[in-house]
Amino acid sequence: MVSEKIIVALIVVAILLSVVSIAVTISTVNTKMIPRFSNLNLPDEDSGRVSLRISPTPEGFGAG
Amino acid sequence: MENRTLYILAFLAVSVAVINLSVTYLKINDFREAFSGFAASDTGTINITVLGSVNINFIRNAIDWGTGVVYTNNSNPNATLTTRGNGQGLVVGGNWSSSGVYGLIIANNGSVNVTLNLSTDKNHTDLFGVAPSGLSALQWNITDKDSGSCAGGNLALNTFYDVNKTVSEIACTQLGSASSKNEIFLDFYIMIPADYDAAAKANLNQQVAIYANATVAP
Repeated sequence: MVSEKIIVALIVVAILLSVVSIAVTISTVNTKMIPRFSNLNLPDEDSGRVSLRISPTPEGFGAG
Repeated sequence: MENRTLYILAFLAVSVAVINLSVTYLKINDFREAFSGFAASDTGTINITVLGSVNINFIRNAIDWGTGVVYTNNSNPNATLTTRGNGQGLVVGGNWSSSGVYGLIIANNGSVNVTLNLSTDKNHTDLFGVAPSGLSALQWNITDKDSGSCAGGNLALNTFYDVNKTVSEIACTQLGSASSKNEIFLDFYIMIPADYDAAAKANLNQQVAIYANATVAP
């Protein structure tokens, strides 16, 4: 026949597993069902410009 | 017989517990993607975290010097074109018009302080070729438009530095987001040598692109 110690051990294991199940449920709900946003602070970029045009200069040309 | 019944019941309890644990974990993981955010009842509480936004803008985005010539009757013939923030540009040694020419303005219009990097697509040699006289330059200078806007970075404020198109310079480690201190001037000093590469560069519309890149400041 099966000993009473084994039966008690099995019942204890069942209780522990149930407790673990509750803990896993709570922790999983807290960590995975609430959406976690990744960092949305994406880089931004803009541009400006500097422009000019050079006309050929006659030799010795100046403001005088 | 009684012990055997208890054994069977205990074994079933353990099995059910194991199955319970597995199903709970797997099903909650399935829920993760389909979570709607709707409350199960007609009242609920939503916690919202407003994240910062990064938004960098050139609110004055062009410096156009138009067309001009370099005076060659000086001992060291060259022309210099300088912008000075909101002050009118300055032309020396040439006849470019400074009318309506002002420095660029960069603003942090986001909600967080940013690190500002600046880069260009040209050096002075791209604009003028290699001048034997060496009287050639393309430099930039950052100044606070709003006092206290820019802090840190590799470019000291109020100082002209040579532009290097191969380097993205950290202009400000911290560019503020508060409306009273979120704007800087980006001025340019251009030295045009009289001995520029006229064959390749004369009568050519030259344009230097300036790129501002902002990321969340540390």
